[in-house]
Amino acid sequence: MDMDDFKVAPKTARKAYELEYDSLSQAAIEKLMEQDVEHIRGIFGVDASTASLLLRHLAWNKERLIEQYMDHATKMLVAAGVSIPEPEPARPSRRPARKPAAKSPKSETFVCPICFDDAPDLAPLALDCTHAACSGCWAAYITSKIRDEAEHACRCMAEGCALVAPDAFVRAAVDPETYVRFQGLLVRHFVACTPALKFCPYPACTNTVACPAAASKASLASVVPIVSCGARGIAAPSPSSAGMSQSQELARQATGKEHKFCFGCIIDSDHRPVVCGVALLWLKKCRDDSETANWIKSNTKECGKCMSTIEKNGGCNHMTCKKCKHEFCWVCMGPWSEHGTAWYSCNRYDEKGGVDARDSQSKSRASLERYLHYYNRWANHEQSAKLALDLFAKTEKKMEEMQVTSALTWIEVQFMKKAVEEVDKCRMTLKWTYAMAYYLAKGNQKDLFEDNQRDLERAVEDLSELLESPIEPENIPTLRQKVTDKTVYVQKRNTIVLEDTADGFLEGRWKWNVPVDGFDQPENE
Amino acid sequence: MAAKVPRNFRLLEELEKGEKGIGDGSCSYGLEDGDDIMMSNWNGTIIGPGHTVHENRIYSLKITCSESYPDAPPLVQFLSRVNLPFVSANGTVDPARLHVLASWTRASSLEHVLVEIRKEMASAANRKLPQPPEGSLFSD
Amino acid sequence: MSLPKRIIKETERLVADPAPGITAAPHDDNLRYFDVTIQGPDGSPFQQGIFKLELFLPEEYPMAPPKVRFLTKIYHPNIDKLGRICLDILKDKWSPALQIRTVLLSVQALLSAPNPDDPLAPDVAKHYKEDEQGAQRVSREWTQQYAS
Repeated sequence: MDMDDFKVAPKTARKAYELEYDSLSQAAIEKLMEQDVEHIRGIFGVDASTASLLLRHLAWNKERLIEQYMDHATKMLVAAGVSIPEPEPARPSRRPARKPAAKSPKSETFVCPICFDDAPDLAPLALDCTHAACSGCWAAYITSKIRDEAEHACRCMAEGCALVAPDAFVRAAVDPETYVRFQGLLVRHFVACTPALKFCPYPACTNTVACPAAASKASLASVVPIVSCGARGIAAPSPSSAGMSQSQELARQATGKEHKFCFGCIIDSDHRPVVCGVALLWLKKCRDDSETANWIKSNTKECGKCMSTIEKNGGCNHMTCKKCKHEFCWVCMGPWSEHGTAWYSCNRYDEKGGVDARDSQSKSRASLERYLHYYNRWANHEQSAKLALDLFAKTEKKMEEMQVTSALTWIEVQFMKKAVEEVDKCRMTLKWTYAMAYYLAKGNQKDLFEDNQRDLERAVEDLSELLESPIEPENIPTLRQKVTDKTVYVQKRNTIVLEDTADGFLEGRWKWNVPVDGFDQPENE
Repeated sequence: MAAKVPRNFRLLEELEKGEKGIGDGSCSYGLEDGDDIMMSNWNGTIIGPGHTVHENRIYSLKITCSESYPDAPPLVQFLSRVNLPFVSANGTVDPARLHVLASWTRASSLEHVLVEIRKEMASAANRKLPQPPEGSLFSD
Repeated sequence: MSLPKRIIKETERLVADPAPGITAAPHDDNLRYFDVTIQGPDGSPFQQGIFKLELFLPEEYPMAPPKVRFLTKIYHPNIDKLGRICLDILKDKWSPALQIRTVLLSVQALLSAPNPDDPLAPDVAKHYKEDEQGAQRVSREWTQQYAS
């Protein structure tokens, strides 16, 4: 098998569970904004600053802006904070007209109405409304709007004045770092106003993903728009102060978690194969029922034979009790010997058998048990995925050992890393298949789904176990062969689950046992 | 000198934080009487930390903030019976024996007190101390 | 750092030229912390009441609004049991051009014009919406009982 990890996957034949999307940097988004501003500028014959304030006011909806501006240009300019309203001519003002401070002749010293400072060197500064204040107060005011309130439209400080500070005014008022923040806020606002764009939710990341195929709510019933902004890891807050050398920084970025998230909902990880609506239902259920399920969350279980407490500290479900050497499956707690050979269906909650067995028990008890069955397996894969980090560290150590004890080169021991990554990926898939299975309506389709799920699960557990087996110099070639073969097989099983589920959504094959947005009502069972 | 937040506005801040819920919900607090304009008397709740004798127990506490709060620490008293080295026979928390109270500063808060007590419950020295029956009160 | 000029000047003016029906005096040991009284406006159910309040100017003032609270119990839809006030200029409508004096005048005006549609005390607001006269009677009783 070709083990070249450096080859970029060719962008050919997209799979059914993959969606076309683009990653855009902040600069690229700013380009898009500029284009819109240019467009409006050309049509209205206004300056760029006015055009952008107008666009921001109407949430970057160009069509609506053009329509409304054509009808009521003056009204729009006032509403957007570009110009001050005309004084109403008919009614004589009841108050004596207050002369703005800036207009007073030079002879009078300027007193800032905000800080009351009257130093002779104080420079009055005002927007077109001429409500002047000193530059220090403007700086403090705009900085607090940007930094504390994340506000990109900074209005005049005077009470009731709705004029918005243009970008050039903001830039002159604040320090460069705050202005960068301001630009970031503008980009976020633009992205939030554009359905085909979504800001990367990872901390300190400034990338945006464009995914027009998932821009409408209706599309989310047939696709699971998992995207990646292309970045990895968590960016250091300021590049110089982190105390990392450049090579360390590069290494961190290369090994850091890929910024994968769902374009369609708030889940910031890969929730394929299940669609957003069902995934969110499941998460809500888990939150609501977490009290009852709390005991399961605990990471320890008791050995079925000698009752000593066992903590799961690796990714594999094949447990061996340190004390009595009893071998069992972590998920079903049954002996491992039965598990491997006989069909000890560990992934499937035998609803019929279960109901029969619990004849005497109440229905609510059964429904709780049913939920716990799925939750248990869901949580287990999540827990195992978390342990994948430990496993990865262990594996890396093994890889180093292997380079020393055998004639293998660095490239050749990459199969271990690849296998760990694959296991992690598949556990994520498996995790969400349990959320999906919980809500799937009973029937043939669900059985087929669970068959695929079971095959993937067995393959993953096999590979996971293989990765934890002790390494002896003489078994390295066999291990490599075995791991490589298993990795390929696991990959194949994962693709089958993802592809079949995705096809099912496109074909409308999946039916649920609860109402889900965008799907037909469930049939009464 | 930085602005010194007066007692009442400080307690309002703490109340609002408590209403929003703190941390994972294992500690909470609120006014004993929602009408108490001086905000002197508070109820605290601690959910016993897992993997200790306190697991799944719910402890109620009474916290009193004097005139000089937050310059002076609050008075803390367990209502639920508990066996801990810094809790006296009537439930009062001995300020000298709980670090957050002994080294109290204006930066400390009611939240800190509860969180530290819960941490103490889970400490190696205290996690296995024999406990009075669950649900019993010092006033019983 | 010493007290900002703005706070010193505002305080001077508040003492020298108080707004009608309003007093405000800073604490000796905390010049950002004020004892305030507001007279209930004539024609309102709070007429003839003297209401005690406290006001604090946070570090960020005037970029952030002052904090104000009633200490006297009051039956009003926009003031809760702990004396907290729901008033737009104390929150998102704050402007650094507003001052302690304008804030207190606005609080006084709120007593004349309760706004049950933006309630902080839902039960009082409900009462005001369903039976304004009955609610005003309670407001008057509370004023007599607590604010005189």
